[in-house]
Amino acid sequence: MSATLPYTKATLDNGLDVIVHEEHACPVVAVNLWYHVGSKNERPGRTGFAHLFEHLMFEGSEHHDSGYFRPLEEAGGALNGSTNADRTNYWATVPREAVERALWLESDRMGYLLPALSADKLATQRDVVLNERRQNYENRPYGLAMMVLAAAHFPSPHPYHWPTIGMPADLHAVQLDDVREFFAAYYHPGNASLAIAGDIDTDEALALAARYFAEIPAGPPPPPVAVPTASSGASASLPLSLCLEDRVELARVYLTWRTTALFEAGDAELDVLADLLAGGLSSRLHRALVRDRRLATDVSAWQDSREIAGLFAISATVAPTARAADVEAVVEDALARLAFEGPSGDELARVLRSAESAAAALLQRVGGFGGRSDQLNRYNVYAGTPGYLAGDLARYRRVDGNGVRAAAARLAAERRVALSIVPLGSTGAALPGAVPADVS
Amino acid sequence: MTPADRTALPGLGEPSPFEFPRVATDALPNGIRLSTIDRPRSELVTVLLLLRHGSAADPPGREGLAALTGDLLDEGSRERSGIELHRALQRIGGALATEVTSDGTLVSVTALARFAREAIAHLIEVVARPRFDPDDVDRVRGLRLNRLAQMQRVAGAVADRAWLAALYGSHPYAHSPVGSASSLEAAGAEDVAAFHARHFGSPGWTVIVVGAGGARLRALAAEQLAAVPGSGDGSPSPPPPDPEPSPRRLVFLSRPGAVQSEIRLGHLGAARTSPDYPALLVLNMVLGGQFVSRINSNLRERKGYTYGARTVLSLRRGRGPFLLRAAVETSATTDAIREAAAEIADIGGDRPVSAGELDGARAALTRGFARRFETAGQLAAAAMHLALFDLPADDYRTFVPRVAAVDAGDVAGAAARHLHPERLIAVVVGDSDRLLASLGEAGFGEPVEP
Repeated sequence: MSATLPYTKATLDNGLDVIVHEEHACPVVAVNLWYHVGSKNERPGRTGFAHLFEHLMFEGSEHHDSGYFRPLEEAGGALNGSTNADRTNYWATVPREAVERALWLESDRMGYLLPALSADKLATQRDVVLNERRQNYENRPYGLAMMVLAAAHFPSPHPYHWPTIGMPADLHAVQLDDVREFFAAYYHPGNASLAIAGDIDTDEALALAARYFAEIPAGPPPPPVAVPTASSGASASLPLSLCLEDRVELARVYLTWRTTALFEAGDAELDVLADLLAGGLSSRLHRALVRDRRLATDVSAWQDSREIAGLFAISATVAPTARAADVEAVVEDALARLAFEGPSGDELARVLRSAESAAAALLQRVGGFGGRSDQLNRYNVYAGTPGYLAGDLARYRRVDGNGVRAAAARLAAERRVALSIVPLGSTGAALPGAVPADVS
Repeated sequence: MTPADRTALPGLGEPSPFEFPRVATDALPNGIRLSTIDRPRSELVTVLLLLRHGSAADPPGREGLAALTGDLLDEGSRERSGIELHRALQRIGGALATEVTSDGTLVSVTALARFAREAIAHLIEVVARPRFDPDDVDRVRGLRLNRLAQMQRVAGAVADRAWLAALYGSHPYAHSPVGSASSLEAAGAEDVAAFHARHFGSPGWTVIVVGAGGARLRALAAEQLAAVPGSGDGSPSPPPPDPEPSPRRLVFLSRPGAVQSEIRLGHLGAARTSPDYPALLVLNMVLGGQFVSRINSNLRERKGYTYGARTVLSLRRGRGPFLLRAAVETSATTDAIREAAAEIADIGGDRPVSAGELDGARAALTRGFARRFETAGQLAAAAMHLALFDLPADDYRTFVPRVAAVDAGDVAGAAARHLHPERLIAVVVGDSDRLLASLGEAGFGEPVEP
């Protein structure tokens, strides 16, 4: 037995993909809309725009020119949106009787946002976003780590160079005309994918989608994203060891590598490698660093695979009595061992079983981030078909010891970016030879 | 096809019927209370065990002991080491989670459905027969001490802890479950073993199993649980008494150079068993419990001071906090406190809940009820609350009609009985250089130290 996600897909004349998944266990319907635009579609000097725009999408459209939340919260719905480098998603999970309202609202902001846009809305949401940046990055211990690492791995003008939340100066510079241009280029049916999942009949869902979205005109194909070739980018300046002082109690080291993109050959092996290294208390690095030698208070590893490229990271918080270099040595040793001998059969089987369970856990819900409707859109946008779940799970079933060994070997051999985040005034706690990171 | 009518939002019509699934509960001969909920076609099974002893049961001077004990459950059992235990969990796709709240200790295993028997067995193993090796106790306590030290750098965590201490003084709810450095350092392996011996006896267990095939799961669980030897009387820790009243004031903690201030504002709230429960839920939705609430609309959507502001009613066995949380840009701190305090005062005063707000809040709660129970974990948590608060078995089945019956008078009464602007306690963690000159104008007198 393994997870399945049956669906029906139709494409409207204006190019909008509509995907319907029936699940009648609970009288709830999820409406999930992806726009294939993220911070990778921005340019230097105009960063943070895709995300700021996501905020404006909740401030009203021509036929409902007031807050987007009220009519759905008052209908018993939960809703949110998010932006990353590659895409922007919007979801509402509503009781069955509110699905038409959710589609009315979602289509109105796709078709009729600009007439309701105002300088006041823009100014207020810019302030909200600046506060989001302060709360989640600037005023949070270790909060700037991933910004520094992405900037180092993807030198400008690589579209992953800048953070999705944006640079404050750029956010201050945004004008209404920028908003209008962005909307015209990216927020139209041909650049979107709509998933409706839950307690609704397929025919009814398709008819409702057509009623509300078919009238919206098709838009122009989005401009291509310019991606510098890997060889002209970061690797010339690597390896690199950076140091950043922050209001933290304990130093933390990050060892990171630029890796394969989402669903590319080798991506699943890196996911498995991350779990072998640091997934749970019986993982290799947790045992070595936290349990046995007590050099670190925590350790994590992850493969953050995106549309254009991936970034593999191992991070560990250095115990008060330990040195960053000792932690680094243990990590390098673990990678070298895996590169040499690979995982045991039992070890690999256990990690794959955990992954099977984690996938099933996400699919328990029809809506929300990572729920069934979000996964259908993710597969549709990144793999070209909503039906990629079986293929996705098969990628992991195909992972064998040799593949993991090869993935570890590549990391052990490749040039990487290290980052030490240390308490203010304690640059001596960083990895030896680290140079100050530039945080602008 | 009917074209879209954009002159008005589609109406909602009658709410879709939703019946909370049946919770089958009975007591086993050894005193264990077993509940099962059928979740057809579920690919996962969740097994949750509740003990009605949490951080409020920490012995004085040993604050943090309940959470330390909970943290040590997965460090091995009498029959195998922690590493072997975690490997066994991985083989069933199992995730073990322990949560210690003020009133309870919750231990759960969620695993692939085909391994339900093993999931139940592993849960019993970690709760009934933990190893508590002194070396593990020393290591895990060290990790928690490090976490405490790190929390001192997290402005929001500093604010939460300072606010609880300001409100509750020396009351059992005054400390967060993690405790303090000095009390954790004082807690040793013998304290952990004694806490376990006193509070983890099987007559006090409530076990909830949620998955496909409720009757089969019930038989599986009953068979294994019946074999657990009984010890102790199983009575829960009593709800703590009401704390001493604490005066209105503003407590300030310095975080030099901070770009935002963490604000906490609130006072003593109600217990979960309050007869005002449905009216309080409605009141909180209007005031600060959702995005369109008065406080978030004011501080975020009108002023842009914050990424978000929310109030919570932490409903416990005793009287829990009523608390607003917000991180605001430094220059807006004083104004944000004034505005938030005014919203709390006005909803029980000059600007009572309007008919439209009442309708909206009731509908948000009643029409939004079903989506709270999609996953096995959500269903298990719901059944857990019935046991934790000694609620009637049909509590979830009567929720919608009880909330739908809340009227303006009920909400006004709840505001009068449970909101006390004159007793608000504010905590601010922020940049003293930029704040100290103006905080006195927030309406709380001059700021005081913790």
